[in-house]
Amino acid sequence: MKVKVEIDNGGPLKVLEVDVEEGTTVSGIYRYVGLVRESYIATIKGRLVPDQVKLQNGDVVRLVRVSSGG
Amino acid sequence: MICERCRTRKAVLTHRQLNQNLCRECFNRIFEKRILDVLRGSIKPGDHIVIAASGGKDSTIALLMLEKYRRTHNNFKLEALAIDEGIKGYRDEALNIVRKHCTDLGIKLSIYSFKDYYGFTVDEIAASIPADHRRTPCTYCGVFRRRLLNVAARELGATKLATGHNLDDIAQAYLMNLIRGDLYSLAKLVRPPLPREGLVRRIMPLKMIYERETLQYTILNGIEVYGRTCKYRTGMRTIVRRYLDMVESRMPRAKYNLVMAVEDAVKPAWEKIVSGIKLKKCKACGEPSSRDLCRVCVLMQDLKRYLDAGDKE
Repeated sequence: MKVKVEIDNGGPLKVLEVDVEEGTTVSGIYRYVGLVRESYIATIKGRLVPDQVKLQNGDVVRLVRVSSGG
Repeated sequence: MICERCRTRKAVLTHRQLNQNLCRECFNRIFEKRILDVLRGSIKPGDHIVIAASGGKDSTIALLMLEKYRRTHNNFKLEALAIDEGIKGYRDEALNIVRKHCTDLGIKLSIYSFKDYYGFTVDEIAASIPADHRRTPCTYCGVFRRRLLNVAARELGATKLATGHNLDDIAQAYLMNLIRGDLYSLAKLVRPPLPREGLVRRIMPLKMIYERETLQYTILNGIEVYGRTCKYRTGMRTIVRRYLDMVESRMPRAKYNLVMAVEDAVKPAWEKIVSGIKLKKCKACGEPSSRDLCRVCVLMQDLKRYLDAGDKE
């Protein structure tokens, strides 16, 4: 299934279309995009989601970098 | 998915260090309690607290929690201080958020600028130093910012300067000092020597809070914060931050364990490490320093060559 991943590093969003296995969870998305899980927080439709939530085809997951500022 | 604390409401997030899925109410309660507990131990009746606010998530939450604590313990004075380093498209936007929060809360805000105090901005520093210079704009900015925060807090009559430093910042600072072999700086971070003339004591309301929790709290509660990254951010801290995040991903609570272990190890040896170094006054500027010439003056001398050269061109 396809999931859109928006990566928010504190500047313009980087958008990726990712093919993931059925049953992939929110915390499982990081291995598809090569990011360190602890450095980001996942939101769907602007809301936080528990790590174990299973992604659905067409979901848009935004990964917001935890660290900002200087 | 049900909250694993109250077992009634819907879980909205995973708290990895607690290894629990939590609802908004339980998360907020746990988060706020840990900050308010720190404030209870840090603030005494009659204190004049100045909070260093940047508009970012950490100092904004520190500001909101200090105001929440003040409402129930109306025995100390609270005001805010912001530093304008002069980074166009970054600090100017962040300061608007600081202003908004301070206005909403009715907290007095003072803004001190690099331009007024030092005569130049960070943008001007970045433009004048060569690209291959061994020091980055971050080095100057960090040192100059710390100095100006202390000077401003002192001018405002603060008994304590509150900052938005969180558990991640502390873990990074401890590890960086260990890597540099700088036991003196490490010991000073673990327990600041007091009293020291001219230096305003610092408190860190978020010292028991993971940085990701602060971001979760702002998203969960719709708190407006400035989330951009400074264009000049570089250096050792970035590497250490990433390393600690990788470790924490595999081993939740690793950062907390690191902080606690360093503090347990340093505290018994603290006197021995710190007592040999006396605080004096910088021969050039008169500010407190452990060396004859303080770090600000050393960097100013270095920088002046480049800024003067730029003026002549």
